Amino acid sequence: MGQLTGRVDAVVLWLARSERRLVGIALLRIVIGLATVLYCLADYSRRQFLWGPHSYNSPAVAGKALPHWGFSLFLVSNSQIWFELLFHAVILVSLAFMVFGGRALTIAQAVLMWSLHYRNQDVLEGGDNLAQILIIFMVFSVSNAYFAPGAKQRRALMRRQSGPTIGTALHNLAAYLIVFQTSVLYFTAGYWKITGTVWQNGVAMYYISRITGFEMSSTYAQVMSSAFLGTAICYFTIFTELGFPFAVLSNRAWVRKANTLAIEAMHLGIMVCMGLVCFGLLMIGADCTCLRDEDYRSLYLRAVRLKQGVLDRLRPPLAEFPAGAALSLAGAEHASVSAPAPAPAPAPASASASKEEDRAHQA
Amino acid sequence: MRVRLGSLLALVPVVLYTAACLVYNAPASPARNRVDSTAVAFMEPYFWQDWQLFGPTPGDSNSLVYMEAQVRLPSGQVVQTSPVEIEGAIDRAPRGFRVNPTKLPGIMLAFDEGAQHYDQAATKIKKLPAAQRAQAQTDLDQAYANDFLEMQRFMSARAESLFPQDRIVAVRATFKTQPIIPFSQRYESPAPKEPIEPLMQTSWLPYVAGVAQ
Repeated sequence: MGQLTGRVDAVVLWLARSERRLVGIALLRIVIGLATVLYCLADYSRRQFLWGPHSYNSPAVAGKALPHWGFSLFLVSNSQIWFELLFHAVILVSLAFMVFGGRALTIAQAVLMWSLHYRNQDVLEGGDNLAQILIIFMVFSVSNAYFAPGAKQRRALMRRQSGPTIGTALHNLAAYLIVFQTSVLYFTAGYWKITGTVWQNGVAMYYISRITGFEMSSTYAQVMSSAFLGTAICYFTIFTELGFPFAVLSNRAWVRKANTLAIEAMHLGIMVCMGLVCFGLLMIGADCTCLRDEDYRSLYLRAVRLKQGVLDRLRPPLAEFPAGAALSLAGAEHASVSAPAPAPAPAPASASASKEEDRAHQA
Repeated sequence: MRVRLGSLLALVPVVLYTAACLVYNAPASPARNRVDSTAVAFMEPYFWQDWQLFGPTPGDSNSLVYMEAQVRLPSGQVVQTSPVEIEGAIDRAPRGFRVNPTKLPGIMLAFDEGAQHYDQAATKIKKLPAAQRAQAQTDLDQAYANDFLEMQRFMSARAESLFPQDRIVAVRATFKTQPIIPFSQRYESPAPKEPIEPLMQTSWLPYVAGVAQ
């Protein structure tokens, strides 16, 4: 009995001691806000046709399509003013959520996003489905510990708190659910693909690239006609999707980073080649939560080192003799051979050396 | 003590969600069928999800939607326009602004999916004993009533934009499919012409005025 209590305590302590995946959840917050703004702006001039009170999808029909317990604030009234107010509120709240985060804005974002999605379910993509679920979990998480005004102070406050708290436990459970849901998504998507003959044959990308709704350029369709490339992309998609949950669980940081980067590259391709910008963005946001905070720290340090290396290579080599010194040397030689040549001015060299030290210190 | 109790209480729904989500997304099996209804009750509507995402088989055909309208001439005579294919233009609309493409093709995808499901159900009804057919067809039409209302309003708006000067009386949509050229024939010259096959045709639906453009 005592052993069991000890184990339970260990689990609770692990859950409630410190917040995890703060960077990933902050990135997810930014992406959900941005994707919702883009979703509204993509059809801003057609908003009456898609979501308005006189839309082809009439409020009465949209109301009947609502599931049990489903809701949409857009269906509360058929007034034009109400629609305009609410539609612009979605944009403004999404912007505020993207910038500030926080629990109140997360709840507002969840209510408005669900309302917009349930107003017209014809124009939803898979990414919206994921965002609808993840935003519910985000209500219990700390989404503004990074990339938000006051984030530094917030982190300092979190570090100062003594002992485990329920709030921390709720955040970590929400983070777990976000990562779990994303992993289920990829594993399920990979499973369904691997059971399909066209995916096994490596020709699925050929058919997808020829569906007119997803054919953003004829070049993409031409490239996917290649048997080798098409097969490589089909297999790459299946392997990265099926491997996602295992990569997330891996203790090796490079496995987690490599799989996340691979799957994000896949979504960038979907955004560019298939025109599913909001879908790709939301998926990238969800992928971001699958890296740990220490992964982001190491990626950041690597990026800083890379930038430093590139800058060092781009910087012209330090002149041995600054232009002024060379001129004065030439002048002295010309004036009198016997006169002692002035030493090259040491100031610029020492200034640049101290700058180097500063940069190294900063790095 | 308070933290311990609170954390353990919070763990309960998380464990339940984990189990329900795994069952909900699992492929059909006798084991899943036994617990499916419990998982569905837990997950829907707020955690409804479908992650097939082009699996197991992505579409191997493109849909075509032809719209016709009945138009009343100033003389009072009602004439029928020739069919206009409207899906191609809507599917190409996202290319107009690639940075943030329009979601309009989603409407056509939803209509095409509805038409396909309706067609499959109608085909099954034709195989039923004659005595059951009429009732089954009525039930099917009832189930798809909202889809047809959407189509009616959508086609009315399209007809108005195509024939702005005319008095439109009714609209009709015909759904057809054209298979994508098979992978094995992709380099054949001349390119094989895949046949366009009819899928479903709506009846003449009265024109609805005032739908936003």
